[in-house]
Amino acid sequence: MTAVVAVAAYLPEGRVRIEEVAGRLGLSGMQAKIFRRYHKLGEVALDPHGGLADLLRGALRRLDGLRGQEHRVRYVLHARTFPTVVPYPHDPVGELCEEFGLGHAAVFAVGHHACASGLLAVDAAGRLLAADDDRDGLALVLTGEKAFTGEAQLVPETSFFGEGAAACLVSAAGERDRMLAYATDPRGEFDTDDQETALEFQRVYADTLAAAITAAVGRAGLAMDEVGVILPHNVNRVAWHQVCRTLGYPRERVVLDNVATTGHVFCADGFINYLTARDRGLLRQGEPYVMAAAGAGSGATFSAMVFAH
Amino acid sequence: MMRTFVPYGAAADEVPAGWGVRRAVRLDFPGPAALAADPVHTERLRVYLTDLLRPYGLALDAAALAGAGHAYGEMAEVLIERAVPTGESVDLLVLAYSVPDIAPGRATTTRLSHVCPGTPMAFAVTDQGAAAPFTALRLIRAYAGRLPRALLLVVEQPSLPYDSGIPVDLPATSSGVALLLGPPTPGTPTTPLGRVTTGPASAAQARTALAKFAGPATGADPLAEPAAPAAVILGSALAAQAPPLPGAPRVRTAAPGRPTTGVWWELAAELSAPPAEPAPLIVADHDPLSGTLSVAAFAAATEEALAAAAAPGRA
Repeated sequence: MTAVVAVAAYLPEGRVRIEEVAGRLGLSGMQAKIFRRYHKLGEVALDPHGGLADLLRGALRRLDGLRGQEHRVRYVLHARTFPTVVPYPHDPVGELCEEFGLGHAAVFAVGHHACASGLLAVDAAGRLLAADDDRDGLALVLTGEKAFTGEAQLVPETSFFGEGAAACLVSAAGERDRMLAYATDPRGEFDTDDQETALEFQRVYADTLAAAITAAVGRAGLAMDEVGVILPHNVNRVAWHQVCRTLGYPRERVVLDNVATTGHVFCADGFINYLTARDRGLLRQGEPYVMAAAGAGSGATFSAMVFAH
Repeated sequence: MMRTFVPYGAAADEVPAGWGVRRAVRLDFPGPAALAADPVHTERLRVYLTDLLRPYGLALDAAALAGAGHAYGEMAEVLIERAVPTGESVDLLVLAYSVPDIAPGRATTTRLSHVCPGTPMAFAVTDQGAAAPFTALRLIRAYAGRLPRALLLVVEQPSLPYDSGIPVDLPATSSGVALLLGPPTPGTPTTPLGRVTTGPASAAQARTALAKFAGPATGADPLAEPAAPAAVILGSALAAQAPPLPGAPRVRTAAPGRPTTGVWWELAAELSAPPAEPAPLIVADHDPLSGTLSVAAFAAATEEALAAAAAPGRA
């Protein structure tokens, strides 16, 4: 059964107030004010000097569970929010794998689920290992990107992206954080620049994300009140409060600690919030928890994954 | 469409008997994408690529950007229409490519899920050069117990409006190959998928690995020990490095202008005109940048598979 063996994350020290990012992107002062007062966003993590490899390296250096286990890693999956993040055919992820003794592994990117690609990568990694009948093998899921362009800095009407990374070791047969179920709902009808469709997307956002969570929890054979915490994507507080209303789930059990201080760290949010929840003692042995994300940007994908800690 | 999964491991994850390629379609797309004619899109692409290149000290060739290149979404929609028979549905769509298209920020497969019959789960496998389609096949099989009706789309397009500073083999034209995979169905020949491997290999190691296919052998696994003489399909660079393969009755070589789709282009041709005497089929390619050798074995349609097609419920 797919399990998460180890998780590490890296956030650069640099922080930029959202008003500064908004100003650079041509947003009005009122729009920035709405993001701060209504969405409860504050600042985003940024590394003005480093590249993608520096972000991912930061997470890998903290992944103690990898030390001495490099030879067991069969696959390295970079889960992408944006399909293209480096000039072709530059390969910073491949070079980084060589640096960390993972040159023997198959290194590739999975994506097109936008910010929900991290959950896709965990499921895909577990299935690859299991299909190989490789109980000793590990897969490394890397998440995190540079906010290198306007499209990768702002989620319109929703959030600002922050820079950071996470590294997650996955096995096909572990006991530590066992994956119980995964639900995903690709909604390609939102792939349009039409304003009415954009409004419809905003209207159904919370309900559709809630439906993905309900579907995953149901598939795991659980009820929502058995879920200890939800590890969200860090888009904003309001969206998650709406999801909680739909689910009838207490909002204080959604780990929203990092929303105001990091921004939305692409596909890495769930893993960063895992560490926050663990450090706060919110993950209890045997108790189920949910990692969830909605990926938006030329189409939308709503996904949720249930684990038992 | 919401899809739910539990982790791999239950009996439901067993790949259906005889599961394999049911249909293969190959198409060239000689003209640019319709999207390339949209000035709003071109301006958006200019900004995206300029910002992408800046940290690497690279510059955009704006003249090469205008009106050029293809969009994998547009190509895929045509491939879907040709590959998925009327009335059939797809459970899983996987897009594999190397060169980015002219919509580098777009979650193209999410859109494709919307237009493909069956509203499949869909995702992309990239950044592995010519190995990406092989990894996609491995993933498709890993999901085949839950999502048996799958569509692999391997695509490439030649427009790269910047000099990356790294020598790279770009395609000569835009092209795509669709492989429709699934359990055998009555009246449709299905070519079962055998082992698929990807792994680091130097050119010399790739040559050694290929030598395994050079002569007749007796094993049941056409990859580990080729059974009957196998037909072999080689990527163009790999063919140039390969030793003679006297035991293979047919050796197809991908055209040099198809660095990612080439072997799949030849596979589509092979499957459209199967030989009188079916033989195991090997598809192999070597990605020079990552140094990855990929091999996929396809068994010719066997009596068991044909029997399964006649009685779909039987294991």
